[in-house]
Amino acid sequence: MRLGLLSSSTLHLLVIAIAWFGLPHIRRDPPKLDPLIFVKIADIGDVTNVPNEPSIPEKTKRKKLKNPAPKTVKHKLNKLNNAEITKTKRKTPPKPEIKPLKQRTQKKQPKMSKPSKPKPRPIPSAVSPKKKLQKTPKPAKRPVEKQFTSLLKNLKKEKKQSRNVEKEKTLGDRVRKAAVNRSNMPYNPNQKVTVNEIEAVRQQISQCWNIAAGARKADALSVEIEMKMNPDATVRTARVVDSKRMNSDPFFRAAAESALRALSQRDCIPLKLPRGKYELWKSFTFNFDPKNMLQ
Amino acid sequence: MYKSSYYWKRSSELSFLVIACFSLILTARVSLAELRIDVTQGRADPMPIAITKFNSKSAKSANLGRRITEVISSDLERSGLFAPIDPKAFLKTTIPLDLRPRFGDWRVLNAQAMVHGAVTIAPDGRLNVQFRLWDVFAEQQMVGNAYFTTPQNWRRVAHIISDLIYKRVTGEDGYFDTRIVYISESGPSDKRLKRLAIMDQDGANHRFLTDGSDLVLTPRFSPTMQEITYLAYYNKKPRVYIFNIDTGQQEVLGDFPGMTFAPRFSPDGSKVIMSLAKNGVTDIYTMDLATRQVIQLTRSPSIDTSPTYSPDGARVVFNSDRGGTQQLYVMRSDGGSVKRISFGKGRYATPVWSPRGDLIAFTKMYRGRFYIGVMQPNGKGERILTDGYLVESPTWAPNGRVIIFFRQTRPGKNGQNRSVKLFSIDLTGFNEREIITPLDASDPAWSPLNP
Repeated sequence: MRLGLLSSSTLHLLVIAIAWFGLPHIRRDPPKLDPLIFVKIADIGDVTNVPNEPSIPEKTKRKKLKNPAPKTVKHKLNKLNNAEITKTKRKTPPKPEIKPLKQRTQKKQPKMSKPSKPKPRPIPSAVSPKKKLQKTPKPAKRPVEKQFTSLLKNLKKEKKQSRNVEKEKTLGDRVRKAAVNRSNMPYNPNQKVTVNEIEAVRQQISQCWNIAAGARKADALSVEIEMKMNPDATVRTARVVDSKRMNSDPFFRAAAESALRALSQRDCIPLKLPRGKYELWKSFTFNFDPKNMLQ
Repeated sequence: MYKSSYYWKRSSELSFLVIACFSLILTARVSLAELRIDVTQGRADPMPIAITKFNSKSAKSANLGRRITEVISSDLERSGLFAPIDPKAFLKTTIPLDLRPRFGDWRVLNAQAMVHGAVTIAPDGRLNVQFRLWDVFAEQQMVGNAYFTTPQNWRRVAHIISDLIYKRVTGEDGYFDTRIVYISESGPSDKRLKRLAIMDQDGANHRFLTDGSDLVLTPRFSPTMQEITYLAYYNKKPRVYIFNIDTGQQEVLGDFPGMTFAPRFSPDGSKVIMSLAKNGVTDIYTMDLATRQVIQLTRSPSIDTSPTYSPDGARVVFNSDRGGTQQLYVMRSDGGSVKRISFGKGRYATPVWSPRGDLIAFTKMYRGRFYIGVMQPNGKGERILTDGYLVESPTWAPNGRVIIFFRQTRPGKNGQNRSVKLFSIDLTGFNEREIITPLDASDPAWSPLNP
């Protein structure tokens, strides 16, 4: 009797102990994983950001030099997105061809390019830092240095966002660090814009892209679109690479137009691209491939 | 101390130079190895389209304009690829045809395309319909056209405009200017009255072609002419007939010793392929309509039936029980190299080759349930679109994107409350709709585009 009781209780205790230590959900320690993952992602983005940033000044410098008053321009630029485009368009006198026309298909090029085309435009990344510039102890004399501070400021800002506190360093230190980073990492554009960032854009666009379901030859309907972007992640121009096929193949044209439409929808107008890495996505290629959707 | 900071300053400038050089090289490489984003996921939402009421000057043309707009709108809506925006939301109800639309007005409605048009009745009584389709985002005209016709044809003009819009946006030919022939059924199940009937694809212009004194089955449209071939029991003898829609003339196709059934035209309309049952064996034959020459294609001791040509006329798909159960087979159109293509569970029947050639629609029976599906001509990629107690007899729209079939509900006791109706479904399998017919309907056949 006693033996039975004893063995029974020890066995029960054993089972409880095994459950306590062995089963994952009995202990109440909160899983530590979630926040960790989040921070890590931000980290990766920053590290990869550093080495490529020096490439920005090259382009922005030149543009900035030509443009003395960036503030007003920035204002304009914001406006430009939608309303301006339509306005300028509307002013163009309507073509009053009354007799409609046998299957008139005009040249199909995305129109978005027009309003924002030729004049060299300043880039917000070059603009916003200017304000900050006043805070820096040494006002830089040459535009070269200006750019440099601005660039690093940007970088810092991003770092703050990711809660990665970094001590203020001298210009030389930072340059050195950038240089070191550079030498450590071979340049690889795929690493610079992180997978997460690309995924964000992909998600965003897939919400806007309407595939004509049941299309014929869906495996041969992938559309490449060459993008030229504004720094505020709006589209400057979007051009279908295979323009010849656009004119000859109505299926391809339909697919290409649906892709272009995705890029001009309200939900997708500023693409969710990392603003600090403008240089990397200033021009890039979208490949719309409906193959997987249409099988 | 001072010196070293000076040194650092120098060095910072130096390193800047170095980096500048580097970045020059790098930017050059950026343009080579450009960022590339693959988008492989999207939505399959219908495209929002704004169809404004066509402009008109007189009361009569205004009425026609309104009805044409309605027909276009419902055509496009039924295709499942367009979502016409409710005209109540429009900021302007009509847009003059000779003015460029204010695209901002349509962008706020999220319209991706916009249609406007004009209807006038010329002094000689003819109807003039013009329209334009605009891409709202690109702000360009996509297509525009004008039609002269008699006012009675307004419905056809509306369908033709729908076809043009459909084609311009999807790249695929439209199917709105088509007709459907089917078997209209009425009366109790033991004395079922079956009549051949024809209507527009949207159910309008319905009329009966036969009076129901003879039993008619399996009507099929000629791909080239306004002719229908079907099976009729005339004097209790089942025979394949050809019926001319325009003249109403009916002629029997050959006098065979056995029973002929399951007829279908060849893609060029010059031949009819059908089954002939003789001495307990059913084989597939073709008959040349001009020379009446008959050729036997299959010679098996099994039941080979439901033959259909591929759109290029080079191959034939049919079903046969030669392997034990009813399965689909493909052969050359001269009867050579027969190959089984269906290997799924269940029995397969009534294969129909899509007019665009990439798919074969079929009926499948498995565990007492019926399914309508499609597969590639090599038998791969089988996909079930819909199912039911009894779904059967698929027929393709001329653009190969939509299928019509009939669906029969489970009858109540004593065969009461049995309803048979036509349904359409598109290739996605999501857009299934009933086609309204005055009576019960079965055995649909879709016409080619009207000439």
